[in-house]
Amino acid sequence: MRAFVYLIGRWFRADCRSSEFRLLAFSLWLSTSLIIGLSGFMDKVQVMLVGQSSEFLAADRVLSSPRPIDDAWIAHAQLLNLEHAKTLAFQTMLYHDDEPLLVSVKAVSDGYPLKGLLAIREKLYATSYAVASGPASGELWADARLFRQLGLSMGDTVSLGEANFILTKELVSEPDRGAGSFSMGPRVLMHWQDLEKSQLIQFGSRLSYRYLFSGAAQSLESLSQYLMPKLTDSHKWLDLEQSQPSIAIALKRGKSFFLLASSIVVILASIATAMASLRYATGHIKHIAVLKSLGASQVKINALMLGIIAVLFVAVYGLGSLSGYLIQTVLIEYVAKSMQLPYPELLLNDVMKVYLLGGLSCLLSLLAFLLPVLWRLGQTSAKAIFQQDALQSMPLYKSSVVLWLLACSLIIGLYSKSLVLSVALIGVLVVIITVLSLPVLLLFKRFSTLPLRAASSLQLAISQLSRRLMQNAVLCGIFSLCLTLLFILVAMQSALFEQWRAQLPDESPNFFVVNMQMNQLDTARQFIAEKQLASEPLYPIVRGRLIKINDDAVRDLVSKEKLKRSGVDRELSMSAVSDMPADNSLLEGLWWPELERENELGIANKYFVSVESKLAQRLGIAVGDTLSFQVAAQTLEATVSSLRKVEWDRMKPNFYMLFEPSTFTSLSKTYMTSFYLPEGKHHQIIELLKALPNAVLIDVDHLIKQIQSIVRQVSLGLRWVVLFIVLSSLLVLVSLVQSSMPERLKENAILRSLGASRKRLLGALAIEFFCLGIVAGVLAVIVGQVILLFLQVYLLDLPMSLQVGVWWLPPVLGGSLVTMAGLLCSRKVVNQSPLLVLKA
Amino acid sequence: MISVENLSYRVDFDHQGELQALSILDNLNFTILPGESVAIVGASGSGKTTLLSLLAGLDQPTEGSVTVAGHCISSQSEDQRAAFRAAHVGIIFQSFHLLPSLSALENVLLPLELLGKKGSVAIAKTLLETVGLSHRLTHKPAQMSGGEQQRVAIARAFASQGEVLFADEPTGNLDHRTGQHIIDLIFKLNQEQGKTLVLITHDMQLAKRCQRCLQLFEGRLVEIEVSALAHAESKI
Repeated sequence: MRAFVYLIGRWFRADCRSSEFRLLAFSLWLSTSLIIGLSGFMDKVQVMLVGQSSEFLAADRVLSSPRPIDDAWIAHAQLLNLEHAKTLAFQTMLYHDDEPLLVSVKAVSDGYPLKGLLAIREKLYATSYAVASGPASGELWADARLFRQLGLSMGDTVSLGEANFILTKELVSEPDRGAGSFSMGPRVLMHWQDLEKSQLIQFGSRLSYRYLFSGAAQSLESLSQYLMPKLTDSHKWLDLEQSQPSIAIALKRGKSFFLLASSIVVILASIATAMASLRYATGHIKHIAVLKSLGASQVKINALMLGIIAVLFVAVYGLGSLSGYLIQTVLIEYVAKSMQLPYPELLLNDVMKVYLLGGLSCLLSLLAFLLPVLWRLGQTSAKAIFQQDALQSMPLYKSSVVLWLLACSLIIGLYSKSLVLSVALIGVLVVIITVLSLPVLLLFKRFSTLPLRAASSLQLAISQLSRRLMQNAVLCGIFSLCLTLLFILVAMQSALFEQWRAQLPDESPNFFVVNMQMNQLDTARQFIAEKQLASEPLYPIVRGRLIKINDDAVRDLVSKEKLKRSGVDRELSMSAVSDMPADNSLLEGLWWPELERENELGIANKYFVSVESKLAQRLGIAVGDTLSFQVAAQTLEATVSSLRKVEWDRMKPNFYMLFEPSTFTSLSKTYMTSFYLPEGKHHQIIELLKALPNAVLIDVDHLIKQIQSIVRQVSLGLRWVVLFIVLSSLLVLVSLVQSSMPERLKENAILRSLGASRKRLLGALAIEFFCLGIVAGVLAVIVGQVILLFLQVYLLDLPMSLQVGVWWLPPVLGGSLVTMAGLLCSRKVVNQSPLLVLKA
Repeated sequence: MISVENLSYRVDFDHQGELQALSILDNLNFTILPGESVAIVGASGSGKTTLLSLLAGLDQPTEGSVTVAGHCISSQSEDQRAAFRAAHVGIIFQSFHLLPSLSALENVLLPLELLGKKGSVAIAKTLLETVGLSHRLTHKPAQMSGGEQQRVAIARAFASQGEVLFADEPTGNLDHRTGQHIIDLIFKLNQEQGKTLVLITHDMQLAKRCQRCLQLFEGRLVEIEVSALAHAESKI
């Protein structure tokens, strides 16, 4: 037994010196390191981004309720070591010298906000600064509108209910103030403790309690599981996705980009491992035959193989974990430093998951890629020692290929936690290799009828290409696959990514001004023109509730829950425009100009409405339906003339319901617009607010910056992924060239012994590899572009477009990279003495 | 020591879509006594190497039996034959078949480790010293000449300490002078250890050094008097 363990050790040491084994170990190490490195990096970026984005919720999770919640729920959160705070929002009248004003009050407990900061000013319109806690008891922080509308100054006393408060600060922003609050009165912030003495909370008051929780992800998950069965329809358990969909979409899309790109790297590393396993097994046929001739039994051979696999696993997993840790550390530090964000820490549980994933994928690679070929290797007969042919090749069985694909799918599935992505990528892989091999077969088959000629490098190269027809077809198919994947990634980085960035350019509107009256429009226009601001149109706004679809009441047609999810259980902000907004696209029906003609043809209703398509789908609204809206005391009826697709994540004013301009003529309306005010000029907004005392300003600068930060962080991560993909592609290339090396060595040795010069052989090799590279590159562009179109539409939810700008890349890269790597790997073919080769 | 009865070996091949049998060895019968040195000669393609692979238990006959050192190896399973080879047989190949990634010492250690012998490193070093390679212990096959590689292969063949030594054209890849040294070494070690030697060759001068000579011709075996070889051509 001891001697056998020594044998395994010695065998492993000897293997470490062989190029086939080193290539196999390197491929496995790369794949393990990348899985550990990239998934750890992805988790950390997620923690970093969600942590940063949670500021918009003022917590990690929020429970909203119209009533106070059970104290036991809070006690449970405390047991889980979660931080907590609470807020209560309601509307009431504020008095100053008997002058009343409807205000939107928010009472906050100690600890609020758990995430993010409040922005306040010491004096009206002075420089704002950030604080991490709300007002003290007896103090009131208020919106500038309150000061303007009641003519108040800092230090004045106002009364709310039965209590008096001193105005001590101007409230500029709260982290969790949603964009939906603009129709309410000015915001005032008070301490929770003062609720009792003010006696503001009476039976029947319309209240909105928010319980804020923050802490470890695992504890939050436990709290979520504890609360879920207890929650009723009136409760909302909010996370970032529900409270800030635009950020959640950006996070999801960023993750998709990164996951897709890094999965490609993992696939390439897996292909390299599979190829290297085959090459390793081929190189060891003689070893097994010799061992058997020396009396090694099948059991001992199998044990030796398993021993090698076990030692290889321990070595690769150990080294892979170390380098994986380094990869994630370097990447995250690079991103954190570039974005000036704090270094994120993962929970021990999550860290273990990453390393477990790396270990599992490494083991899976060994079992699926190496074990089957070693198993077949172990079946080598002892008599093969007398058969030169049997010692030089190991056939690739279909069953092995199927196993490789299954293993690859499983590894990608484990890595991406997405069955769709895994199956789609592996499906694409199979299609590319089979489909791409076919044209190569046909192309090179044309040459196979030509006689073997070696008069020039070109003739020699052509005959080599045609003679190794099947091998070249597979080689070209796999080269092509690498280039396709690289093309997809580069195109994604350069074009798709830019397309995404373009949706939220640097000058995206960062201020929304709502609640403007018609007589104030000129002031607003003048301000925008004077400051030369990039702005959106001035939209008229009418608030209305959808009450009927055709003759049926909405409440009878749609369940309460569905109504709530659709957002039409409350008043909608509706607008009227003559031209369709640039970001909207018509899916069904007609826009106004055509409609006029339809109208002339006798369509019954006077008014027409264009409905957002997803809402229409949820409520079962179709073109031609009649919708009834309750607008103040009036009922507005309109025929649905079209359904529109709206890009909600572009931070521009968008509406579920758009009417033609004449509809709003007799209705009471306000106006809104949005514009981009550059950093450093934000103070100029005060001029506008002074001129429009009733207008409400919504500052989304922070939100836009956060989304842009996500785009930038993903972009930084992708740069590294491109580097890894080039490295993995080269590895696949080396594996492929190495697999044809014994045959090339022998053939070229014979040609050299017959008088072929080194120059001619080198030239033939260069032409052969160059042709393979160019053909693979051209095919990669065709297939890659088709896949990109599919990805744009189905996975990344982007409009279809061709990436013509990067079409040159695969052929150029294929030609040069394949020629260089091919020549470098096969330099032995022309450098080694033919005598030595032939003697061996 | 070796007893062969009615030994036949055929291979099937596809001839224009029809499976046909090609007879390589046809009804061979012979015995080799313990300690004897026997040369098997014959032209290229006469089936010498096939016969050796059957005698050494590397392959199984189509018909007949082979008994070596009391083991009827023709009826044994692959694993039983492997165990038989490990314990009773040493083989020297024409193309050496050393493992290129292992050093000279490691190559000689292989059969010893497969047998799980104690003190295997000392045994291997002694053997390499015997074949004159004590200064080449850590060298890889690629760093050695053909003669040196074959000497390592001889040391490996003697390492298992089996009763029978098979040598398949051991000088076939070597120049005349080196070949002579190798043959001298094989005969010297064989004499010292009293092993049975079966030597496959087409070199009549070499065959002359054996006690008996068997010639394969068209699948059949004919015994030739060694004294008669004095006048034979040096090579068949």
